[in-house]
Amino acid sequence: MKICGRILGALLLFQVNGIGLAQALPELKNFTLRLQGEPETLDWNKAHTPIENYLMITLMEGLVSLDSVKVEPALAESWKISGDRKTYTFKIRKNAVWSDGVPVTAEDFLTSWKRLLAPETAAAYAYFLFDIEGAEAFNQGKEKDFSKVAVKPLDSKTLQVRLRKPVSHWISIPTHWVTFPLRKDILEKYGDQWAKPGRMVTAGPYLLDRYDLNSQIILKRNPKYYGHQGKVDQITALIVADDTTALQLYQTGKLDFLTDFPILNVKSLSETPGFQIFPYLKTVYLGFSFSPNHPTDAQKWIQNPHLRKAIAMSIDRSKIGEILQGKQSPGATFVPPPLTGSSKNVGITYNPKEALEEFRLSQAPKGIELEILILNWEKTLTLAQFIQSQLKLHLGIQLNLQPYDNKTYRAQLDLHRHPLFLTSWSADYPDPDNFLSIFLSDSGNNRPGWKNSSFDHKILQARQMPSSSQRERLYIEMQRELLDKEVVIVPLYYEPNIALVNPRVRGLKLNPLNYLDIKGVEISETK
Amino acid sequence: MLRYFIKRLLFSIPSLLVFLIALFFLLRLAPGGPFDGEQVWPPEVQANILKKYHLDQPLHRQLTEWLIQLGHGDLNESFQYLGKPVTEILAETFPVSLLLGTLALGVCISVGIFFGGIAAWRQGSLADRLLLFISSVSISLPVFLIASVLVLIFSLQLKWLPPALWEGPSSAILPVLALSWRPSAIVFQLTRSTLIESLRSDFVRTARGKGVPEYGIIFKHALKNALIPVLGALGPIAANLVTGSFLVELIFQIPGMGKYFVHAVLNRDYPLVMGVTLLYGGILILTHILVDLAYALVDPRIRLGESL
Amino acid sequence: MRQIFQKQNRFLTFCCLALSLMAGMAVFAPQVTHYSFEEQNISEKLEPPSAKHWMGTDTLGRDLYSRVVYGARLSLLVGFVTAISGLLLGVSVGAIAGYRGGAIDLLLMNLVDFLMIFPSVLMAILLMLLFGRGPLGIILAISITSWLSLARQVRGQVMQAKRFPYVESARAIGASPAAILFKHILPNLLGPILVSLTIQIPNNIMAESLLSFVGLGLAPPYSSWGTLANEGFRGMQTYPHLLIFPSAAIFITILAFNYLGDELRKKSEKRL
Repeated sequence: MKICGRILGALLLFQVNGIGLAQALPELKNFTLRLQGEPETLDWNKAHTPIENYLMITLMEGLVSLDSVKVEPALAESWKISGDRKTYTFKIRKNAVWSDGVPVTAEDFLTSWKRLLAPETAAAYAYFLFDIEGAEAFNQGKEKDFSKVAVKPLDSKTLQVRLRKPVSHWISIPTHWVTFPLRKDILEKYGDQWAKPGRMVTAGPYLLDRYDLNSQIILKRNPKYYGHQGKVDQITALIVADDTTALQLYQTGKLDFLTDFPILNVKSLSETPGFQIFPYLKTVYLGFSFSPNHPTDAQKWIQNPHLRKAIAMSIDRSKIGEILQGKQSPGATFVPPPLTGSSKNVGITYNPKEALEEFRLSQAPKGIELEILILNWEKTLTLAQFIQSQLKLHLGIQLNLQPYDNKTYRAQLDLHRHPLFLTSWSADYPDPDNFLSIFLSDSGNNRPGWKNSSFDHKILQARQMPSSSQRERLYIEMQRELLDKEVVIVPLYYEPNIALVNPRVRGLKLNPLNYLDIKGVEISETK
Repeated sequence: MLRYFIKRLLFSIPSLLVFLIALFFLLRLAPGGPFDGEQVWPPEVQANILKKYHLDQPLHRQLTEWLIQLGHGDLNESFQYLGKPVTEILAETFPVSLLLGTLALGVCISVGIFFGGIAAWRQGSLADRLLLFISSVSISLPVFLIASVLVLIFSLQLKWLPPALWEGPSSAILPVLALSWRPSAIVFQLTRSTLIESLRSDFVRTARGKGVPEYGIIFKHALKNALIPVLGALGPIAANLVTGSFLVELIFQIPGMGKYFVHAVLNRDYPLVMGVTLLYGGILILTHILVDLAYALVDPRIRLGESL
Repeated sequence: MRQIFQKQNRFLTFCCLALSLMAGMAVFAPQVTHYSFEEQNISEKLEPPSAKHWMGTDTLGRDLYSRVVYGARLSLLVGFVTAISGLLLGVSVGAIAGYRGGAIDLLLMNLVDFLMIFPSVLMAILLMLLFGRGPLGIILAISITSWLSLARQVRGQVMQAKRFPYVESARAIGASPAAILFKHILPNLLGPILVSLTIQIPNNIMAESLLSFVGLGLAPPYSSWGTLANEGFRGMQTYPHLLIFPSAAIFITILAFNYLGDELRKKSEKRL
């Protein structure tokens, strides 16, 4: 009986969905985008995957926001940095209110940051706030008293934060959604289940209106938003897991905006009017594994810098743009342009002749076999097969691909079992520090497991430098060490953000962190 | 009959439990954990996560905890979709899969048996050969190929039907067709061959001798007999249609359970995998018992007591 | 086999020819191709079929014809090995359960029920995660899941056949259970077993292609037809040749198997 009821329910829902959409569309300016999967959560303290990206940014705002790579005022209209560059004082907008009319206060940030750092929350991005005095100890559970963490509301509209030492990129940290404010009364009422339609209050341009599991999420314009909102009344986020299906939905007009689609279609789509390329801060690189837990022959050979150099020299990176069809530009520095510390004059260039010489110097036997760990995605498989053929052609190395699903791949990366791996890094905040600090000796994201104390020292030194030209010099120097001398990694290419935007949509912006800005979007009724 | 049913059911529960326990350990053997992501979290953050989701405890403790919760009808919260109870996910997605599967099964049975009957009736005729050819072709096509050809023709070229999504009866046509295509052909072939076989049997000859018209023989006498092997095949087919629709759900973006399941396995979402398996297990065991019962109804020579 | 060829069925001859052709391709792959299946030529990538590249080239400029020919090796191997091991396992378990009945039947059928709890492809996905992505992993994952429905079917039929008068009389004379199974019951089940085998081989070739679809197929540059077809599936609108040729190979093979199985079944019935 229960099951009968469920089926009947499903049938009804089915009907209502169909009719509901058909009727609602003509009056509302609706913008449809695609999510690659079900969001893990809409709780912004906990959200940590790229899937939640678009939703978080349209629902909410933080103290500051990013316009392209520049930090702009958001809920905070202004901020002051003290002379020792350790104290930040944010002035919150007077007219900033939550969607239920309650004013946004400094207390709301305190509530959110306390929750983000609390060990019970187990938020993955808690470490984002570790530069704040006392924050790390509180997250470790060593300090139970949150008043020891240097986040203080001076009054209802003023928030003061004190860092344990100066960090030049710190102002970009509060652009990230994990730091967005939260309301204490809402949390007390709903606990961890607050991020649902009818419960969630927002202070951003849109509201969470409806959430159909595994199907769609609908956002409505927030009438209480303080700023300029643009002309889109409703955002429909369709959850479409398969790239080919998503492309077909775009082609039949069911999607207005799409970023990931099968690379085989890039070329033919590049001639259609909706094709756009947005800048992106993402570097795809080939890494060498330095901490062999199981020292095989291959791992011993790879410890020899000559072999690593030989491999770096034998990959013709200028061909990658053609193979992946997206005009990807070949990589040089690990820090991608236009960030400071990016340069075309750093990094090893393609040179098959010298590669052979380096290979000879490495004294590795001819025809050696090496394993490379990769993700089982269309793009990475294609790229890995290209590298495979290049190494075979120029060095006679037999590269064996080890493609895995995402989870196994991550686990294998931690095990350092494969001498080579293919991975990428995309920016959390637009600063070279976000790229180079992953190679700190104690960083969990140091995938090669390379440890170098003078490199570590330089990173920390650069963090505290106020002058950007000084920093730039240091960043270039570090990368010469990392890429030219030690050849820890080989930057392969910089990923552009290739998108399809329905021609009826104008004024869409996508920043280099893949943050979607639809405030300037206009939708024409034709079609 | 009822006693048999209850007995079988009671016998199945321990089997299901043993299987679930085996699966519990098998899942943990697969490399990677539910919270491994793009980035590696600092050790203190990682410790907090493991503690919160009880992953820091020994396996047998985790298992007992799961079993105790199961006793209370609680399947825990998903590890991937934070804050969402597994029961809620199942309650929302299973009806969709069930509806899709039931529609496909309906198509499959009616198309398969109807055409199977026709082909057997006119055995060797042009219609029979044509049907046989079409069914062989259909069996030889992978689901994703059928689906993509259907989408290419009906959505992208003719623009008659939506290429994906679950928004109304028109959007169910292509997925149901794609899902039922191969099984229909299988049911057709089985019906046809068993029908032809039973048309040769003595009792059909007797009926013919009595002057019963041919279609009467097929649909009254022979079909009942021929249905036994078909029934045997229908059990797994039905179960597969409900539980194995994940590719169709993926390609047509249908908010059903199959897709969730694949993602749950790939993302090591232990509670969700266990929950879905429990539900699948229940369905499959139930279908098998029903098929056995149906066997007994159709063929009185099989005595139920004997299988116990 | 000779009998089959002598028969005046042209279509059947065609099927046998197609299968021998596929098998021949698999065995003599290096002799029938003039390009390597893994050699890349970026300047000739994604070309449509031509005199030079009979089936065109793929994303990395590899000759698709060579890849399809080499793909036959993997696809046929996976299909055959898994179907045969599944057949042996399924028939023996089903026959024993059906013939002996009682506790053994209950035990075996519960085992089958356990394993059936998982939809086969999903079970295979889980097993692939454990066994790794080599050919052995795929074969194990598919075989383990491909004998279950056969076992159930055989059991049902044995239970039915057990009541046939000639079986009962054979039992009355004191024939051993094994003898009865092999002499009297199994030969009569040849038809259904063959039918399900002709379903199983294509099913397994397909299961392998579905595994490729979720990204768990064989690692490149080795590509089965399933892997190739899935690559093509992503670009079917722009480069249809990438989907058409590998799918055609899968399709023809499976079709031929189906017909062959059908004819074999008819033969075994006539012999009765």
